[in-house]
Amino acid sequence: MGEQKREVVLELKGLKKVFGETTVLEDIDITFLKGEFHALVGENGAGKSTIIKTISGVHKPDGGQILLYGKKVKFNTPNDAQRAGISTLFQEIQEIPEMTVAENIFLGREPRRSGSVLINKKQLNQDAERIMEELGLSIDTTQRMCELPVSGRKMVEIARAVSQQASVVIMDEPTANLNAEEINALFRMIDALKEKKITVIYISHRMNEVFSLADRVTVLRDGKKIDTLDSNAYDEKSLISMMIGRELTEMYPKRQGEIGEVVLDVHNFSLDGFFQDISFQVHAGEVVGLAGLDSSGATAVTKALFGLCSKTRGEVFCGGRRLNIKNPLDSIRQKLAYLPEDRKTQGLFLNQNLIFNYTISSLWTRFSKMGVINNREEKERTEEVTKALKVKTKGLYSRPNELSGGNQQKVLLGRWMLDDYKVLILEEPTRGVDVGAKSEIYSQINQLAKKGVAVIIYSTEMMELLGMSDRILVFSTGQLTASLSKEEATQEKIMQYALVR
Amino acid sequence: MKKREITQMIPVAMLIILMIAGSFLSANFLTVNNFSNILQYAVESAFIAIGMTFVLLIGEIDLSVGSVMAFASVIAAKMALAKQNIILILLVVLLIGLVCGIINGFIITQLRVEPFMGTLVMMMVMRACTFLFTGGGPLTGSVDASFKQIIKGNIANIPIGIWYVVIAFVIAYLVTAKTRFGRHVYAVGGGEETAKLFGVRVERIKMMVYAVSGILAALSGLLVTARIGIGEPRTGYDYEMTAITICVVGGVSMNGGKGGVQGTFIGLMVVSMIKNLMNLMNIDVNGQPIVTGIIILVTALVVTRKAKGSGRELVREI
Amino acid sequence: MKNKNETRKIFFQENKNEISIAILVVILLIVSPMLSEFFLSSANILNLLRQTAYTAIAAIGMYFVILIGGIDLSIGSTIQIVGMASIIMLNHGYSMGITIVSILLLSVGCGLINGILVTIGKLQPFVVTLVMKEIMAGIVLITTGGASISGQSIPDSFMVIGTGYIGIVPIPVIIMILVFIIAFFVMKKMIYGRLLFVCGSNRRAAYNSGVNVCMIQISAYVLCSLCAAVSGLLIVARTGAFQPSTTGQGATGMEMNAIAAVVIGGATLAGGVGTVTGTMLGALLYGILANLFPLIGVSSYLQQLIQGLIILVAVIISVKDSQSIVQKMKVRLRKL
Repeated sequence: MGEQKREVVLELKGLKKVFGETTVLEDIDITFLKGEFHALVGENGAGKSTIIKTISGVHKPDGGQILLYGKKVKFNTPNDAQRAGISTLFQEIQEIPEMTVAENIFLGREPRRSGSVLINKKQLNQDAERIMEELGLSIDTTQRMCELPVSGRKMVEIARAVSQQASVVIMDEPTANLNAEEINALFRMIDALKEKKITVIYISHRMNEVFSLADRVTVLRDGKKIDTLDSNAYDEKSLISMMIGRELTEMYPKRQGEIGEVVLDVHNFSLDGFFQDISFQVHAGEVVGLAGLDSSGATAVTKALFGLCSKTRGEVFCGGRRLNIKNPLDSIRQKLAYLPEDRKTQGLFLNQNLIFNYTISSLWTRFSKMGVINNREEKERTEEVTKALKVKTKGLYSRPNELSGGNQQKVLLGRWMLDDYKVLILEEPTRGVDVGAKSEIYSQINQLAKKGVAVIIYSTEMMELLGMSDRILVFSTGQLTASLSKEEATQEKIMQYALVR
Repeated sequence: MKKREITQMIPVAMLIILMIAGSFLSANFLTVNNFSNILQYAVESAFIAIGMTFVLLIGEIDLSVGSVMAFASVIAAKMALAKQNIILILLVVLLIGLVCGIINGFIITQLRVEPFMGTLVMMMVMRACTFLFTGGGPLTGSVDASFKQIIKGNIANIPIGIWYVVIAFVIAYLVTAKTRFGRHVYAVGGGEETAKLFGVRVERIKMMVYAVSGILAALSGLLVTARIGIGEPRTGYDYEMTAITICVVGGVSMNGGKGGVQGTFIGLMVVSMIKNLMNLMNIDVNGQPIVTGIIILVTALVVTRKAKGSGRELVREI
Repeated sequence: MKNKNETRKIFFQENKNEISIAILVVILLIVSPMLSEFFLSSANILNLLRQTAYTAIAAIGMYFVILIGGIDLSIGSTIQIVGMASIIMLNHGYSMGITIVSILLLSVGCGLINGILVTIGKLQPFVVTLVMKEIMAGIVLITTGGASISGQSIPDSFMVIGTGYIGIVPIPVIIMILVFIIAFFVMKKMIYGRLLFVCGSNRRAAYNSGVNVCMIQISAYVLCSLCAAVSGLLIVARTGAFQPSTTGQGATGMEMNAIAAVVIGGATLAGGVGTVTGTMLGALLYGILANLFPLIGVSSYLQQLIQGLIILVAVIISVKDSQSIVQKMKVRLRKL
């Protein structure tokens, strides 16, 4: 074959990670070879980020082993991983903005003058310069980080990795906010790393990057490894089918009910930097799914519709009337409802009782007279909703932080069942929810649709979208790339339109 | 970048404006004698301001400095009245500052109490301890002239207070700009999570910062005793506010990670001059907190304006 | 039926914090007469009630602010400025009605400044209120020069507020009970109370649920200053004269008493937790201790020391509770 046998630098054996009730990684076996560019691909939630966080010491594995050069390693802190030679560039740039480039590179390892407690500034800058030269960069290391553009700061992170004499550099979506020129500069960096025989582990949704750079690709799906392939052994189609290839299980309740008039009419909706010229309509009783990978703009659209974003352009009509929404209060008054993607930090009041959590948005309209709350009405209606959703709880006075994820989500959904909303916007409605609760939530969503509510679901779980939606809108880099009807929508098609080229 | 240069110039600009205004407002302002006065009596505020700089740099606050100062002051007075060895007094004072600082650090980093609350309580407790120690009023007796020399003498014809200020700032600058500890203080204030990620011992740094603040406050108390010559428990009021004003005027951000003792030095000059001017113009002493208060508010408002972030935030800030 | 038992169980569970403080209060009330024979004298009881009333009213104001996750260190100075202004106005012949209304408006202004600087100016609450405290204290000292202002021709109707009785109960206590009832009603039955709770519990979630978080926060500071003003009026109506506080740092002042009452009452500094009842009981507990200490020979300085420690312990305990919630929220590491 003519290929040199490469040494195994890093190996994951049977790696397992559990968060609360959900198993996020299961039985992961991957080998990473010296000097190779190894891409990790998979949908959102497949486990890519969790794997790299475990390798870099942010998470501790709940099972399995990590072997570095054949020896078992245990990282208690990210710093341990760094010292072992594993450097990670997370999606968010890790930096001290006010400190210089050189200081950021050597943070925690500043060189000292011999026999003194003072830092050797000269050596600090010299060492930083040297690394810049090695990598072919022309960044002024005495500048402060905040003065560099995003791409420059990413380069500094790479320089930091090199200075730590990393044998493995992990990058999570490094090209996310870069323009074409910056991306090329990044690729030159990666070449330099390759020359130094540094192993690069790379997560990306951008197929062209994967194809042009990767020596090998590992496909992940639902927390499991599907396969690892050599660079000549795959093409886009086969990758996609591995990323999503699962059977459509019949767990989604049958949808009946008529689809009525247009309830939500979106025209040329734009938010600079997030999405451009989005136009679509949602009818009464219709469930529209929004699909898209990271930075696709899909989740920005949901937030913007609810009034969480400033400086949106375009027009949104609800029931024929132009909406002038500046904040969530306006939205709720116009009968829009919203379930945020992170229920614990954005939706629930963890230390307040369930009644508070349920009725907060409908106090004025349903449960009060002149500002005085009707406690009895509250109790009755919240009991009804709890029963309808089958929320398992010790009572209405328990708190969400005592409930399981699925029950928490039900409570949040219940909030929007206490009044007559015209539009229901859901983000990740079953994230972190167990199977039983999932189906209960789905059937409740269907019931709401049956009553004539226009439902918008953003989800990274493709099966969910396919099972629940009458129509699926696919987003990619801020554009609406496809509108697929229930009949024509398949996982492959969605992924096709969602991937960045 | 440009804006940054401008914001850095503000303290110096204020200084220059003050000096010009001062020369108009009072005939006695631009005299060597006056400046000598300003610097001399600035030394107590200087130490506390340096300590406060460290605490502000990690993005926190220490409201207990005034009370620690008072406590150290009366303890030192008691020892001086008992004619103890000056080195011993110094050691005890340092110990007091260290212990108070470590207690602060412990409450905040280990017990997870918010900095303002923890140090506020320390302020109460130390103030109470001060009064308990003296029994309510000042200690009887005044210290020897030799003790007073700590603050009253001259070295090379320059008042010793000025030496203290200069040396303190030089050491503080070296520490913050040129030692690992100092740089890590900036790292903790400028990006705590990142610092932790790269092995900076965040909690240890915080503890040490509070220790520094406590030690400097205690040293300041020693100087107060030397200056007033008796053990007076009713000192140290308002010193933390003055220190915060000095730092904020000097460009130290209350959010952490920005500014430095260089700025604090300028801030010290500015605030001391303002106080001096107010005295020369016979403005009511009670008006000073009003002026410093307004300065803090205005400066903080202007500084936080800068926190516009990358401008790429999806969701509106509330 | 089952319902009655359920309701009773829920009551005890929900209010277990308040019940334990109430028990402590009862214990103190039993123990105190044993420690000092003067405790149960009518003079002492009346004094105890009055001092508690001043603190309790201010504490309820502080409760609102702490509930939304803030703090107000300026109420001591608010009380001062209110007292001074009212005596000056009365001395100048303004009627009691106008004086009281002006004073209340003044306090609303102070509260607005605090609230706006914190909410819209995005400054930290302790900084804003600490500075406001200094500024107001400075104003008082400049105006009075440190000397007290004696009342001249203070109308009797004003003095009655501070010194009068309804039956055997001093009027300040009546007012305290009134304030308590109003606050209790607002927090339990009115939407506004709910909104305070949710804003303190999770600002972002409250905003996403359609709450005007800005307004709620500002209003909390306004209410706090208002309560401080009521307390200040009662204090000054007792003597009809104004005495500026000369303790320099108000670290020993009313704000610490109020904070003590609120945290003892079970509130957490992070916000979202705490009740009016708890605050009242905390004020009562603290008031009894403050009254008892001098009677058993504890000097005022030792008292301050103990007060500081009590606050510290109460805060540490409350932090431990909310810690677990925060820990759980920290499992948000799963960023996709």
